[in-house]
Amino acid sequence: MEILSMENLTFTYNRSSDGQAALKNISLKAYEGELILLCGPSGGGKTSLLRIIKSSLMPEGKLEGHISSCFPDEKIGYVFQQPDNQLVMEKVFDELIFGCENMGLSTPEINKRLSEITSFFGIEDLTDRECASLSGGQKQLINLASVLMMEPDMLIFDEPLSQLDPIAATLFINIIKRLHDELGITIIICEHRLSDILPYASKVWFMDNGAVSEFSSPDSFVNHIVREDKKYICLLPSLIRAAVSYDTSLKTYPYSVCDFKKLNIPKDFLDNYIDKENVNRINMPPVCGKRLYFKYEKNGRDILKGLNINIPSNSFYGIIGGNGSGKSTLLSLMTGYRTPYKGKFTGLLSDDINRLICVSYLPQNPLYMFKESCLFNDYLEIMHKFNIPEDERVDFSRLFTTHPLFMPLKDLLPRNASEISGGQLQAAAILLLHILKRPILLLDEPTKGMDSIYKKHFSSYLKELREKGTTIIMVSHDLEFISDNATHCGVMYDGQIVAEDECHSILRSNKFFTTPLFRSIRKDLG
Amino acid sequence: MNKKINYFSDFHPVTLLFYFTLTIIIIFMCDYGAVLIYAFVSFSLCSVYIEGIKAYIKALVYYVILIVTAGIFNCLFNHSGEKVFLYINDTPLTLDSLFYGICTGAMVSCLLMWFKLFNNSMDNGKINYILGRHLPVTGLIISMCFGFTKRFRYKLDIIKQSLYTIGQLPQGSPLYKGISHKIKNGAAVLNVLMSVMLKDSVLTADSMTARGYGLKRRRLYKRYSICIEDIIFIITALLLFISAVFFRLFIMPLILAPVIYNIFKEISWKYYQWKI
Repeated sequence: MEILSMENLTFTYNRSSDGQAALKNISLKAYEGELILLCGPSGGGKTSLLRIIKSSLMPEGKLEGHISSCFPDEKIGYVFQQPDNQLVMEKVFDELIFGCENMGLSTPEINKRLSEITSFFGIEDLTDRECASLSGGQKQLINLASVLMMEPDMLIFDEPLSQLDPIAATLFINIIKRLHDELGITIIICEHRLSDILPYASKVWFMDNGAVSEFSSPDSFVNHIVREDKKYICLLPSLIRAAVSYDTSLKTYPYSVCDFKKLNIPKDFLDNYIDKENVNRINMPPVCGKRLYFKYEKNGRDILKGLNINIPSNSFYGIIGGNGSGKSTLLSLMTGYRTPYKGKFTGLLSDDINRLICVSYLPQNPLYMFKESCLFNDYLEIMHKFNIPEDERVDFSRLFTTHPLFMPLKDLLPRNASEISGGQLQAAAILLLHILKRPILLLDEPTKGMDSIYKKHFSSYLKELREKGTTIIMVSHDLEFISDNATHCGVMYDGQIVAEDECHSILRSNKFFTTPLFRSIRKDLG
Repeated sequence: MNKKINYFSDFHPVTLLFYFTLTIIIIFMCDYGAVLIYAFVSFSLCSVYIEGIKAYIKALVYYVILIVTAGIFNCLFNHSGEKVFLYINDTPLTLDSLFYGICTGAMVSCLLMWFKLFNNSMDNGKINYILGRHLPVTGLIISMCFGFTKRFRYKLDIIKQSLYTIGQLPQGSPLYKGISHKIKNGAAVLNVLMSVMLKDSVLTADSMTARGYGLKRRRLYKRYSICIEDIIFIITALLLFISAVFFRLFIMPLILAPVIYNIFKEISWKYYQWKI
């Protein structure tokens, strides 16, 4: 049954200065029980489309054409990107019943739904907790559960996975899949982490620059990208990219490690495919931490327990590990914002003054770094504060035209930081740190919310930095980014670095904390 | 510390509110010594039952200090009364005003104990529930405010850390200079906090709209229901209150009601167990 139809839909934002439409002449149809994947490069109008489908969230602007949906607005559930800000109440229980209270449902009805939803999600023991004490994955689960309490007939997800770590993301995807399989809810999901969701999609809408092309199956979508739209090949999952670079005439594509192994791609080819160049080292004292201990409160538990870390000079050091293993805490010790109660750093980080002139730090949410009314003023303020000479300022302004990572920022300079989105904000913050030209760059989950195209530009920028002698230390859940870029890697578990080596030898020896590509060649190592 | 189960807090919030209103009225009409002693002793017994003897003795020290200072101060500044016991520079100190001060001190300490008991049985959720039943929107705003203070403090720390390496130095850092620095830094952090919280609240508002807020009249989930025990308790408390007000009788049983109820529950539980 047809449940949603759009005909010649064109949408223009009121605030758009050049009068360009965000959505151009879109005609699409959705049928009951479909799982539709909406993907494409960021800034292509995906969120605008989703918000127009859910009419109560429609942004201000001019809508032309025709859109009709057979459900009333409250029967369309909408899950947003940020797990934190969607939560309205203090307690999980209040959060779950929030939607039902708004609908004016009776208490027995709410109780019935509550018992069903909590057992479906397996979150019975979370209901007494406070929302703030949950992890990101749990928060997103509560958001979804709260929306489902209203018994929607259609669910819309706007990049639900972008702020989650890989394990939480897999759990979340499994729930979405179960909702689709067991309850037959129609789902429209917008996501750029395709490897998790692509195999389950019954239909793909690929959106680029306001226009949508529809594909009836994941295979036909991959086919189109591989053969016709080659510039977007980096959007595809890594296994498919590897398979395609081996054999361009593939008919069916591998979505899992299992499928990939069936293709029998020779080991030599894969080794070559994932190998990368060696870097020449510039002589600089390496950064070491010896037996670091840290806790937040006197009676609290130790977050770092005698951690040792050795970061070679001019390396790209990736720190990986599960949630709550102390990765972000380690970074805050390196910045000098917090100090370990036992143990110390040597080398460049040895004392406070050194740290203040050597380290720049990109926080998880870069929005917190901007305090002026517009980006331009922020850059100016930093230059003023650190007395940047005139010729370096000219170099800086040249970056807007030369480096692909910063090119989109040129038009955004008069905007406030809170107006610009995900990947662009990260780029803006990196540019802010670029002014300081410090020898050590600390990055906390920089690829969260970045799409593959941004990631490509970002990794080329980091490469340039390293050639100039910068040491990069990055905490990330994005193992593919680490495997493509890092030279060294440390695995963190329970406040300690449990393994530390060159990046590829770590990823090769790991079974779970590694990328699908490494998993697929693991067996051959014997 | 091993906390005792407080059966009394299982009553319906309205019942609890009713009981606590009655007892606070009793405290305010303690104009007469014997009543005050009854009230003080029974509140003390309640505190001992709920907090344990150790915590009570700790608090008792403060109550005694409070009572004694109130007595002395009243006696020094208020000279009305008939029974003079001492002259200092021709100023009379009267027993009446000393006694009056002590009574006031005892009343305030009763009030403090009352708040302790109140906190023990009523939490934010229950207060919100009472408010929210008739004013759902106000109740929602209040509970959101409680959540916001926590978020503010959490965000503040992250913002300070984010600004640290780009020239926002904390107090005590070696490059930190003077008070003007501190004010400037504080202003910058607050500025970021404000804009971040504003952006976050726009997202929260979107999320509320998406979940149908404002679409229909909001109806609160009925978390508690009034049962027969509530009604019996309310009637008993009311009878005791009337006799306390008009005949100055049964003041102790009224204030001790939570303890009596708890002991009754303990005994009946033991009885059930024994029967099994």
